[in-house]
Amino acid sequence: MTAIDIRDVSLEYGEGSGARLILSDISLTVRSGEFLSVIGPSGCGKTTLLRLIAGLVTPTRGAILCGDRKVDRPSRDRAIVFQDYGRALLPWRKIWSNVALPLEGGNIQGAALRERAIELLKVMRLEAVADHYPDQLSGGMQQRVQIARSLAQEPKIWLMDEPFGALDAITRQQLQDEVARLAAERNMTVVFITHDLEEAIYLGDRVVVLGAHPGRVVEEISVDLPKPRDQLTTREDPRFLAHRHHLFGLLQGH
Amino acid sequence: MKALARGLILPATAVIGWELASRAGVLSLDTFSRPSDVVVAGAAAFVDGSLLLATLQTLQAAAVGLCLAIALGVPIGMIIGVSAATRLTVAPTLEVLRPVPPVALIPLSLLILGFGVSMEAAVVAFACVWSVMIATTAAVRSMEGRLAEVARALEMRPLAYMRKIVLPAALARIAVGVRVAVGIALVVAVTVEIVVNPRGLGYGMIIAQQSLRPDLMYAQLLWIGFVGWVINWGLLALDRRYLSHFANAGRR
Ligand SMILES: Nc1ncnc2c1ncn2[C@@H]1O[C@H](COP(=O)(O)OP(=O)(O)O)[C@@H](O)[C@H]1O
Ligand SMILES: [Mg+2]
Repeated sequence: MTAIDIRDVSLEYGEGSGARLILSDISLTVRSGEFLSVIGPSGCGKTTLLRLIAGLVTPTRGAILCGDRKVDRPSRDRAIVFQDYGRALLPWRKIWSNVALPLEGGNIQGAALRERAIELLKVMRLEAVADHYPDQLSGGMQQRVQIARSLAQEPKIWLMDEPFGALDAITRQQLQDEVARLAAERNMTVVFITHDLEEAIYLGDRVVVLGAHPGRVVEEISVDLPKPRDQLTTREDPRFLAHRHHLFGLLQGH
Repeated sequence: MKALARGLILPATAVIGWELASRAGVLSLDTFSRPSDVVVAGAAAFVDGSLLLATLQTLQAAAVGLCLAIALGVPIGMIIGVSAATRLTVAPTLEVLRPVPPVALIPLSLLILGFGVSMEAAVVAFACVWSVMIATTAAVRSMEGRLAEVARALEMRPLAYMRKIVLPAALARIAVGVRVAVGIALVVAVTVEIVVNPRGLGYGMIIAQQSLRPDLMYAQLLWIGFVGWVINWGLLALDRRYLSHFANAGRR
């Protein structure tokens, strides 16, 4: 079943003679439960593509469908994890309360709200800092808070924009495995933007390579590596290395 | 402690010089009084309760006016800050009203409300609403754009968005506007009392002046300065205590 259907989508910023074509005729489908990695050089429109899927931006031409509904605004079914975790958290709220934000106004209230938030924090091993404020946490922990918050809205589609770009290598690997596990456990469809080629292959069922000026799809590969993946063995697998060689060449060419 | 001692050099010298000049006959007692007399007059007014009553009256009008200004200025400022359409509709009217000197509204509010706390509070509110509103609008407009997207992605309703995201994000900077407004409120309340309203510290001063009691007038003047200083100090302390996590909510 198709979860996301991107049909001939183009996006321009600006109007009239000042219009700039950012994305050109993107066509992509993502299967339900699939983990799609999107990679491309900086400025090629990866974030823009994600914002289109989220419904934060509407395409100039073409359409995006999720299920059988046309995407014309954001929906709680689609959670976004922003790249800049430091700005995406509410600095005046404690960690648990940040995670509880998507739950508010629902059927959980009062003390149960906090309990549910703590449960989600446990998933990300953050329960110890439930009563801290965001600025008391490291970057990696802040990003885990944002991930926990996105889980609170129980999304079907998980949109992640270079979530680990600013983190150190060890933290990044831990979070990669956590995201892969959560996506599988909760059967979410994931669109994962990254500029890290190995990360794209390691996580993805499929990798889409975008080219720049204007942003367009230049390659799509299926990653035939067994799951769950392993930081050591997967990365040493000859098929992993073959994908890496192939895509590395492509990215250099653009 | 050292800084405090240093800060006291100037006022102490002035008071001693004032006292000496007065005793030497250089300064006329009718206009300049004398520090020792001022202390005695102030102590007497303090003991008989008249000083405290007048203070409460002035603070009451200032507080009521300030609350009105906040109750109007914050919501209006938020709406103007969030919605460009409202801003374009409302801004011209506000720009015409804003330069009207608050004191010029004294005859009008006297006509409508008569003497008493209401008219004084109304003039204070008019004087204070601008700094609250402008600070609120500026705070909202400079809000971190990412937070607006977080709210959109959660399909937050407009009222919840205002309450949970916009207001807290703007709070620290609104507090700055409120602090400015507090100073204005005190000034305007005392002014209204001096000009027309028979209550409070301003009225007490004008009466002291007219009944040839410069000592009492000086005592009240110094007391007003002290009250203003205490209030500002208290607000700063509150700010530090409760707003530290709101402070970095602006765009970075
Ligand atoms: N709101 C916007 N208005 C105008 N241009 C934009 C806007 N957002 C992004 N762009 C431009 O679109 C291009 C792609 O940006 P982006 O999607 O952020 O790229 P990436 O995430 O791949 O680095 C860039 O050239 C950027 O300057
Ligand atoms: Mg980007």
